[in-house]
Amino acid sequence: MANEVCFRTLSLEDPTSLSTYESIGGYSTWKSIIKGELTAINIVEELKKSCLRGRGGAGFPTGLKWSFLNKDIPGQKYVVCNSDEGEPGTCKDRDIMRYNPHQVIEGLAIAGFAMGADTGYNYLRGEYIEPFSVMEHALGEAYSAGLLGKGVMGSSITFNLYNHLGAGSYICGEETALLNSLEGGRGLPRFKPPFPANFGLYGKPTTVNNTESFASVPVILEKGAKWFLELGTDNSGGTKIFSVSGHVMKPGNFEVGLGIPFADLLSMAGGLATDRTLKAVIPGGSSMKILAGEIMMQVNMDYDSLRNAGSSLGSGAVIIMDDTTCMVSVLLRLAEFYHDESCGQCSPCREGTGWLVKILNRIIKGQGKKGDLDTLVNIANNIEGRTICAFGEAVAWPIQSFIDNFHDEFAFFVKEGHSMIIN
Amino acid sequence: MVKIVIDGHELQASAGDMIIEVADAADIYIPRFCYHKKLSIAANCRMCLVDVANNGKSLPACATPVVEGMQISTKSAKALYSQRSVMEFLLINHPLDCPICDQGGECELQDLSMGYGWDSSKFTEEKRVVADYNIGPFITTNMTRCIHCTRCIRFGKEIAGVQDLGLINRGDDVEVRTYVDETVKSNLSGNLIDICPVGALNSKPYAFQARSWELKSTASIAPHDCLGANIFLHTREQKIFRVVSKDNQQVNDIWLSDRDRFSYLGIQHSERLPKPYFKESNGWIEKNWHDALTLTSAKLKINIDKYTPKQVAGIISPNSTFEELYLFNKLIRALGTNNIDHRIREQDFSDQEFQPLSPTSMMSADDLQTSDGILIVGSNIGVEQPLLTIDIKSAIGNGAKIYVINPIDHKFNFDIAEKIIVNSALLPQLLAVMGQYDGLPGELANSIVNEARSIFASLANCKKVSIVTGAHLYQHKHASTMRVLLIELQKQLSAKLMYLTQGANSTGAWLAGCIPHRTTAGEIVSSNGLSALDSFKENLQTYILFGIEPELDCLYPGNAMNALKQASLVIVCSPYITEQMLGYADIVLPIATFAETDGTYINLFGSKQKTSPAILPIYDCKPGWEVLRDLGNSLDIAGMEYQSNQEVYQEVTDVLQQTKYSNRSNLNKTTKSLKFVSQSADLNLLLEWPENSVDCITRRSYALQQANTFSKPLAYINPEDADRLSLIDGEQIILVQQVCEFPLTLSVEQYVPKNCLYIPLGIEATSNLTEGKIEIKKC
Amino acid sequence: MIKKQKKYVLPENLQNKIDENLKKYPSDHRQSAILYALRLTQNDNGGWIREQHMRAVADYLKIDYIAVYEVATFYSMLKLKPVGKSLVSVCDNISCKLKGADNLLSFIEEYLQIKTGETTSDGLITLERAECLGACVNAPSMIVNDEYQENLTKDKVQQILDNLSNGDNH
Ligand SMILES: Cc1cc2nc3c(=O)[nH]c(=O)nc-3n(C[C@H](O)[C@H](O)[C@H](O)COP(=O)(O)O)c2cc1C
Ligand code: SF4
Ligand code: FES
Repeated sequence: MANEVCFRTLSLEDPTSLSTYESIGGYSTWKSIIKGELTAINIVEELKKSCLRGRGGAGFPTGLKWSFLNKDIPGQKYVVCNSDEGEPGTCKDRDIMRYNPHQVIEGLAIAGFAMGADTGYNYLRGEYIEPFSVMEHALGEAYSAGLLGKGVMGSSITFNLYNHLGAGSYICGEETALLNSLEGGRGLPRFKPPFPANFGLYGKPTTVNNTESFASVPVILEKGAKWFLELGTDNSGGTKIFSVSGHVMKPGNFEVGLGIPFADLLSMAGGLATDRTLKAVIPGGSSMKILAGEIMMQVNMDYDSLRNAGSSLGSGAVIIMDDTTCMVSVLLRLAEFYHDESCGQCSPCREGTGWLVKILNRIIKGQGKKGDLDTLVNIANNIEGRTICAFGEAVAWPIQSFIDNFHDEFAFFVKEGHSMIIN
Repeated sequence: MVKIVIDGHELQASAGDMIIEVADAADIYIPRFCYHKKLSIAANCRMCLVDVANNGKSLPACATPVVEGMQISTKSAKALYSQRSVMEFLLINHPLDCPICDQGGECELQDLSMGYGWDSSKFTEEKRVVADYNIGPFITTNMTRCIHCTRCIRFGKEIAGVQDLGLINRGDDVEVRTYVDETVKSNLSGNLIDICPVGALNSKPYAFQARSWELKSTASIAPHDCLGANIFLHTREQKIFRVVSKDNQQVNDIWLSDRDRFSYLGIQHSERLPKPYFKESNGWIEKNWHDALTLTSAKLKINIDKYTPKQVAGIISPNSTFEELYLFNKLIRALGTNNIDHRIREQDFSDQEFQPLSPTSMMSADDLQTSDGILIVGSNIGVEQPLLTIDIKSAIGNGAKIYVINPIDHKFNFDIAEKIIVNSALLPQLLAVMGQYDGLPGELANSIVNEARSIFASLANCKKVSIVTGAHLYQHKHASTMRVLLIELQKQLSAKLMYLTQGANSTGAWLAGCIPHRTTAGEIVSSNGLSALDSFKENLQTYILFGIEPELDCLYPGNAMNALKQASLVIVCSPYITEQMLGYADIVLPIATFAETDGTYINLFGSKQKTSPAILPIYDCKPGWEVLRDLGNSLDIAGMEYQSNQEVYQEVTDVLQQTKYSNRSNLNKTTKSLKFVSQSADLNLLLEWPENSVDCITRRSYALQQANTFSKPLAYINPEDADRLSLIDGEQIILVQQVCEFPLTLSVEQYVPKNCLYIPLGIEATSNLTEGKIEIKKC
Repeated sequence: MIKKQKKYVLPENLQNKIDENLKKYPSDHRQSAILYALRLTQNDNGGWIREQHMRAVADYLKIDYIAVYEVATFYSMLKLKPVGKSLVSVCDNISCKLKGADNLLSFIEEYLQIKTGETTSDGLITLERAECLGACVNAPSMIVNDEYQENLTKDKVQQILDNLSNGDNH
């Protein structure tokens, strides 16, 4: 079974419309909340049982996160949807918004109710102009239908939601950088503590979740935590959208139960070209560690299995590389990405990313030196764990894992001045 | 309170304090760049990483709050490794130019790299180079050296209240910059030099002048305003190289205004007078001190004999030392006159009998910081007292609201809750309305009356109110009325009142007796002498001036100039000689500046602050107290045989202690004679000194002059007045007064109230301005 | 002597749009509309922001000029240098690279006779390299004047470029 949660409107006619969404049960949870049939505690408990884990990359249990913001504590609070989606390889939130916008809206409304926030923002990356207009249209429909606004349907519940477009910056996906950006500043991550649950948007308690996390919520509450949990595995409840890209015949977004064997996912994506073999896979977006093909073929796609294999599920972006791939040039491109996107505030990240690029560039130009590989790993090690935000790890892990897994290939390039891969 | 352990030391700390604060208090040093105790936390340099038990990662000591039982190691192998690796990152793009960097020897990066660096870096790539740019006369930029700690940016937001600098770009392209190519605007900008831990922002006048370790440091006081910031003068071989802040929590904390930091550039100026200078029939000639003193006293005696002592007036700068003021008083009184004054920027003295012994504020800087309501009346406080705005900002940080009543819409570097701007003629009425005083001409618009009442109501709801008043009160035609009303207001609001007195030592001048109606310690004189302004208006025969340049320092300088030019004897004690002075003076005796002598200044809070000489007086200049003493001796005035300035100080202190003065304020008496003028159709003059031209020294600092605001020959009026008079912005106009005409350029500005002509004093263009009616003529 | 320069102020239609946008945020947080205001101004002024535009936005939102400058230089979609009539942003990040983005980029450079980062001499097209656009499963991809172009081939790209060179922006 596929496409049962966030993509459940995908195969329907006019998937983005309010009527389509309502025809498959959409907004029923929201309506029962409005009728007073569901309490905040019910919602959070149900989420905890469902084992929904944050889909933005860190995999933090959503129910637990929501329990940090107590509905009954007075004062302004906010829910914020992270649709910044900048992690290379990841392109699922775009499709959720393009094909099932109402479910994101409902998820945010429910979250607002559960945590006592009457205002929500959906922060979309600056390039997502099309998803933005789909979301805006859906928002218009929801307001017209009286599903949002002040005192929804005569109840005492108020929820206002706004879409906010960024302007081109990967780091704005980091939740506190996102809040700064939403406030109209530079996208600089904030040091923690204080956490957003205490000091978030405009200094008010705030919860940030990924688009896919929010979009999963209405279905979980409609069909029950148990139903959802059983779509996946014990510690990885539900489905996940995997964006499978790279050297596969039919790349695409696949919403499948967590725990699916990688091999199955690979064949869903059409497998490799006939004369190729699987060299390596980054299983969770470019910031996660790369794993060798042979290992991947034995792994199931869930949080625990991937962690045991030495990587992470991350954002669910599965990047497939066959035997024609030059690891050195791929790593250089990733290093360039992190160099371009570092916000620049922490010394290790600001200076380290540039240093990595300089060395890798030299290697690519055939001017590699003895000791370069050790230096690269050393720089990565010295960035890791010493920065304000997890961008430091996001830089370090690819460097460490590429060189670790493909040391010979890197050493060859340094020594010979050209790639070992001949295309 | 929680118990924690740092490097084996058990320490008590308040929960929520950051590790670095606790460590600092216990003298355990943790390396840092971005952390600064006066600024918010950024935690971006990552230099302060320490090892906290049960934490995988090293944690930043500046941003990690302590919790009960925390075990911290700042020097474990793991902590040191973290610190070293951060240091390596900071150094890879940092130039190796310590030998030519002015920060050398006092560079936090240089110091720390000794302790925390690796011997050699693995970095062999090309280093980043960042373009420099001009941000004004005070600060050099060497942005390749910047380590992006953002202290300077936070300083701007949090202390200066003007965000001059910001970060642009991202990643390793980030640069600290002003907006596009602007210069920095804050008059506290020099603090950036101290705040920057490396050599990215350095002193421009000091650039390449000296190495920090060769300099001798002398504690002193900046005598340019009534706060008297504590400074160190850094010297080598009788030359002042720079001024830095001396920490004093009660006064300037760790900060300095630019005026105080860069005034030293005026001290060793080409206009310094090398020797006593005399006008003789065949021109000006130099004399040695012996001859000079004999001749001066002889001429003085002749003149007094000829014209009576009543024809003598002594006018002294309020920036003089307490000792100078005391000796000046002694000397002038001994000549048989009570015409003595230091109030060169005032015109209404009608309440002088009722004023207290000295105009010391009844509060401290701390009171200002802890007020929840502050009313500013008639002051451009950001220019008069830049450093006090830091206290106001911290009050705002604690929730205080600021209200302003001013004759012009001055821009402030802090947020104002409400303000009322009226023509200065209406200020007394406005204060009366606030204090619910009856019997007014009732010229204020209803809306203004309502606003005033609403501000009063807001203040009445505050727990602790401070009222601050300054130059626009002192200079006001009806200052005495305003003073009475302010006291009334202060009583009604149970507020404390702060007077931003004019000059650095106004309190000292009152106590020493440099006022025409009382001598030392408030002792009443038999018959009042003339005030400074009146003595000029009376065209006397003999003037003795000390430390002032009347054409630039006095309110209505034209009156002063007329008087001096007609007088038969003008004796000037001044560090400088000017073209103007040669025109009106007969004798000029060269005196030392504050950096070349010792002395005492009493600031607005009543603190006595002492200076010591950092260099010897240049050329044949003498400390002012010596000149006055020697003159006294050669005039055979008794009791002038002092061996040291300290003796003078001792004597005046003794006099103060012996005199059982009562508080002479008896203000109720004056309430009957409150004066409210009607706003006439004529343009009402509003005068102000440019912030960097407040005295003879600041005027001669080239760097201060380059940054001087409000010092152009401009006359500002409101657009409506401009329309009425058919004048346009930028037009050349001529201001006409009785006999005098002076050309200025018109600037039409919305922030000037109606019927107001706002012009700078202290500049050549307005040095002929006299009291009285003024008209605008088209060119 | 001192003449005040005529100031650029945001045209009324932009002001109205910004006012509309401001409704999304608490009234004391006008700065939240900054990205919207800058993008709007950029689109209204040939695709890039001049100094006077930053000033105008700052004045309108009542924030410091430097705050606008800080923001305008942080986000890659805000351009402070001139761009051509059309902006072509080609992704060559990992997924697109694996699908031949490098060749595509060289092809475009050759076809337009410019390097990445440059503008054609007729001022019609600026070519830039983009970071991952979030269209990885349809790689290689690019954005042309705000519109995604996916599953690119040389032919498809050539067609698009030809249209742009003929002055057709879409
Ligand atoms: C460098 C960096 C980039 C990130 N980018 C994204 C992103 O684009 N989208 C996202 O949802 N989360 C992103 N995150 C994770 C967020 O910080 C945050 O953990 C997440 O939005 C929480 O939502 P979730 O619990 O639903 O996953 C990023 C984190 C880092 C450190
Ligand atoms: S780790 Fe990098 S991206 Fe994250 S806050 Fe620090 S400098 Fe910015
Ligand atoms: S001093 Fe703590 S991170 Fe800079």
